[in-house]
Amino acid sequence: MDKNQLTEKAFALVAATLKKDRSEINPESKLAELSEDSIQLFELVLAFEREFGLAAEYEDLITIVTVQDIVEYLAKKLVPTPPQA
Amino acid sequence: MSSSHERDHLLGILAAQRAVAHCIEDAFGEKISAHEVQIVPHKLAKPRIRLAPIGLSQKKAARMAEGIDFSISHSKGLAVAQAIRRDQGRVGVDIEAIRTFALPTARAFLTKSEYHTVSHVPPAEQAYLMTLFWCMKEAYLKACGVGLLVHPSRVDVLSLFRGAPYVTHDDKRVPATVRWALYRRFIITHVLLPHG
Repeated sequence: MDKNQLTEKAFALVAATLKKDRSEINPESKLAELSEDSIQLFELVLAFEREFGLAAEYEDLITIVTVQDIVEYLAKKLVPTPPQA
Repeated sequence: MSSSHERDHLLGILAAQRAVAHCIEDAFGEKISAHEVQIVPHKLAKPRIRLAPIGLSQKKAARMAEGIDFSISHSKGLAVAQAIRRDQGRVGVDIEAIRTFALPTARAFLTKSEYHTVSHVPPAEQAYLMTLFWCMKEAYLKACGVGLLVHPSRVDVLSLFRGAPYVTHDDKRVPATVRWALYRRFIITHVLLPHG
């Protein structure tokens, strides 16, 4: 999965979990503010754990602030870096 | 921030300002206005207090602010806040509308023993009990000053629910007391950790 696909998948997951229209979400959107309450924020973290196989990373995920931050976090974890020449 | 989120956030701040102003009068005998209390938020952990009371030195204001522990919660148009003298302990409050939980969510935040308890009550009571357990855990973690930075499944609140004065956190007993109340379709919990 490349970073564009990851971004699309992350946006779709945020929209689906928080029951938002995709157009309401932008890279600077804060996850805590998009969430209706703390339970929804917790559910969002669970959704990312499940979807991206990050089960042991709750304490990293819960501190992530914006949608862009979560994309960057996922990219670091999941997008393979090209080998150095 | 959506307008309902912003409204709830402001309600929480107003409630906390009033609670802190009352507590300062009780604790220090200084009458200050709620608008002289500034609540400095933190994303998930406990917010801080800054005081700007007219006619008091900065040093005294800082000492009074440090002498108070408080907690805020809001949900769907309601807010609760509580402030206590820090030498009386640490406090956490939570308010949530009673709701159902998807099975994976329930399994994720409840301990095995809590889940077992919930699964043995009639279906009509499960939403109430799961919301109550969530509220107790969140109030406890707020009292600890960490909020959801700690995974709620690390805290078992069954003992509190059954009236014992402790929770089990990472398999260790931690002294705590709880009170809870129902208001309309909301559960409000208050957890107090002893001083020291």
